[in-house]
Amino acid sequence: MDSTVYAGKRRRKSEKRREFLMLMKQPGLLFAILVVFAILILFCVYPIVRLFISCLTDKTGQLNLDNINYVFTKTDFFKAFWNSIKLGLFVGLMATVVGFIYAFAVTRTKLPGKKFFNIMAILPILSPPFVISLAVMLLFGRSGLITKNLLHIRGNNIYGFTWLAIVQILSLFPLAYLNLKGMLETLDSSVENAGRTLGASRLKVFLTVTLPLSLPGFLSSFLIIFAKSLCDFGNPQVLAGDYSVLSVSAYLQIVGLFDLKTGSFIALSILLPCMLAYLIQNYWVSKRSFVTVTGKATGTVELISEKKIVIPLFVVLLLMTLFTLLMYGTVVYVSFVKTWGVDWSMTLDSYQFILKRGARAMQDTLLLSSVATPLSALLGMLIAFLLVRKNFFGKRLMSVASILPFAVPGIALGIGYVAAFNTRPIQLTGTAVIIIVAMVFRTLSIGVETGSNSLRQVDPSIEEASIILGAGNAKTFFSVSLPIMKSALFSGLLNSFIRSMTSVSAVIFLVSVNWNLLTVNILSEIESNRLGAASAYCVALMVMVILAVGVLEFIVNGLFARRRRSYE
Amino acid sequence: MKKVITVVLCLALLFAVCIPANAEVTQENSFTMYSCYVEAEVAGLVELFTQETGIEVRYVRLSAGEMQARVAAEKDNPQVAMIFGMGNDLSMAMAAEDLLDPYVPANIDQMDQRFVDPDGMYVPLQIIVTCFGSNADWLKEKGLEPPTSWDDLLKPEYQGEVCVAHPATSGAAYTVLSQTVQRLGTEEGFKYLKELDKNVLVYTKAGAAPFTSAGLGEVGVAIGYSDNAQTVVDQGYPLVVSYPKEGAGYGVTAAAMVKGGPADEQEAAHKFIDWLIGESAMTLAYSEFNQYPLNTTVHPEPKMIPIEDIDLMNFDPVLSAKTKKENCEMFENEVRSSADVK
Repeated sequence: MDSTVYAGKRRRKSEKRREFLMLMKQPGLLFAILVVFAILILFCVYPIVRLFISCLTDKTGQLNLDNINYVFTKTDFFKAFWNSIKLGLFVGLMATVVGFIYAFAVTRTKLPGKKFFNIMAILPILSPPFVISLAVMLLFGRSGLITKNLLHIRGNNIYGFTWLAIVQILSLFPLAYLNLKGMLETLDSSVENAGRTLGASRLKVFLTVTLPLSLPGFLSSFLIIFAKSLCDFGNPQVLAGDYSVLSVSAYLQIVGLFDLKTGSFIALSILLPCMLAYLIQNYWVSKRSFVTVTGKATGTVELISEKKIVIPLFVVLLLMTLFTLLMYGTVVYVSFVKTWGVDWSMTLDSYQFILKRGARAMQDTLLLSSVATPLSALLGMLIAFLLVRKNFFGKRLMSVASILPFAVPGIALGIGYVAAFNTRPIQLTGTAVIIIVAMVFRTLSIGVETGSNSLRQVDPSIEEASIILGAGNAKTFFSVSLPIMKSALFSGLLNSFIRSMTSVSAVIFLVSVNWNLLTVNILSEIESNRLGAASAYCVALMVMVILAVGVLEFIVNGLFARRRRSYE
Repeated sequence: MKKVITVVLCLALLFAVCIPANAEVTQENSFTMYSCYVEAEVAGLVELFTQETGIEVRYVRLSAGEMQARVAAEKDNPQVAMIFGMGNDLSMAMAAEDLLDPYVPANIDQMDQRFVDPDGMYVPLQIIVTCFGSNADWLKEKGLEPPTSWDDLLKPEYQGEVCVAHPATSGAAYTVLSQTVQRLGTEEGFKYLKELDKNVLVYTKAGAAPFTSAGLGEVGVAIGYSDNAQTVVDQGYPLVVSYPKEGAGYGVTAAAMVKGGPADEQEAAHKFIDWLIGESAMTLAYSEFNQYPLNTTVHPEPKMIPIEDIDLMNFDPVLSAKTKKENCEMFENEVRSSADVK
């Protein structure tokens, strides 16, 4: 063996040893890492690996590749695969750009009506995705209110790539917005101020300072949306038409042809592009990290007030907002109309119906999501902290494991959970726990991503100072790192709550006679043509989420207010 | 900061305490099931049943495919006593996969014997028929009569105006496919479907959705089951229902016991199945959900064309269920992929 290679190996080995020894000296940290690993392996890795193995074996447990062969030769797998990727790339890019425009406008300019835009940007994720598809059909379809009654276009075709992409961008850009807003808020504006002071133009500061500093957030948003678009089932099933995509193919196999194995395999194949995108992003971000929060005194953000920048931004945001409002206005309107398209008289019938039939499901949804949300967000922040700040063996594995449940279509996760937790030793089917666990891990990666992004902005010396001053790892995490991640924690909580409240495909296999969820009812009402009841459910869901967001904002701001000064 | 965590954890704990109180409502007089009937229908039936017998029913509403996937996934530890509302073809498939237990109600001899399973693996309930639902305004605008033949749908006036569900996701649409194949033979049948595909605007997921589209004027004509069509008519949409003169295909809904379901719920579930094929359930299903009763002793107040007046084709549901996979494959590969060419 070449001696230099050997020396390198030895050095790496001794580094590993040192890392290990360091870890042994911090039993608390070691314990936290082990617990996180155990949880991730049990709830993220095991169900998916087990499902994957079941795709490759027959009933007796023998290796059997017939299913794979079938997928590759008998279905339109490759076409759907490329269609999904094309859609994901396009939607990921566009939604991230839109999200960035929003985030920049809200955090960096003196825009009138910021609070309003902030709420409007979150609106699209407050409802299950197929709601927007429904509104698009009612407004722009062949007999849509706008296309037919207003513009007198008959035969407008909404089925296919274009409208699917529009709807996905509209429903997914809030993820980018929340992520980038959290990041731009943590990003210390003194660097930007320095650029300005040194005489650079606004454009130059934007292009050479703000944009490069936001690139990690940009990329992670892109990744999240890319994965989300690939796994999205609600929108494509309504709008894709002849444009076949993987999630719909998987669903057709499982639910249509009763072929659990090939369907699961198709669903799991979405993991490949998602993981690839993730690894590329991870590699890229680790190469460039930008620390801007250093603990030293900094200036306040100088908000842009030039008309030539604010007005165009205002117009763009206003147009987007109007479009969003139009979509949701339609849904609200449908919920009050007696029969859409025929009898336009106003009635409360739909609400009476959902109060009678759906009260239990509403309670359950609220309760289960409320339990899942803090667990998911805190676990997410903890993992982000461990990944960004600590060195330990198996770090890569931890980060991959935490993103696994997010990178598969919900239907695969749901079936994986049923298969894994239906019998002893861990029998969870039929309980509330299995739904909570699914919600926690389905939404975990958003917390991890936002947490990591905001932590990467912060100089580790602040935490080191805390350690040097005698605080333990736990105390440092809770009183230094977590407050720094406040904005990220909030957006993590918000996101995981909303995603828990509105998830459909993952939980449809997990709801039980004791625990039912609102979204499952919505889907059922849409399937059975009761648009009024479906819309009323959606409105109820949105109201619940908006109230909860208000409460959340209050709690997080209230609890952190006292500590705020300490790091700013 | 620790306070925050304490508050959060206390809240979580509080919820955790609430949960078991909610969860375990195992009463003597109750059972669990998965239902494929839509929420309003299953709720109506269950309410009436509880009123008449005092037995509580706890259920989850799922689509047929979702239900089958769940029962299969839960095979080693079944979560419910019975399933209800799926087609008899799916019931046969599930029986073949060893997912069902037999049960024969005492009043089975009142049922239309053509649809009773000789092994008693499932109990037939109602029958629904394939039909066309046309938008009245569109017909007037185009000066057309409602279609009365499958071949009507191939006419150029129907270009981009036909809507049907995808056969892999909807029982109604699969019946359309398999009855076409049974009527014309595989080769001619798929030739017909390929022709039809040229006029189809979109294949929806749910079998009921095409009628809403037609009611709204999104498309001119929808194909699907009569109960869904009639529901759209009942809601007040301008939909005209007509039947193919070559003979309509049909679907039979069923109820069945899940193999190895909870032992203490068996008796109550059996009572529910007995009740389902009795007069009050059959009458409700006809008058409220537009499904024709298969109990030959029940004659509810007529509101639709009597089933006797509709030409039913000679349809083999066993063959239909057996060939589902290959039929749907052929549909995906030959009919749908040819969509790219147009």
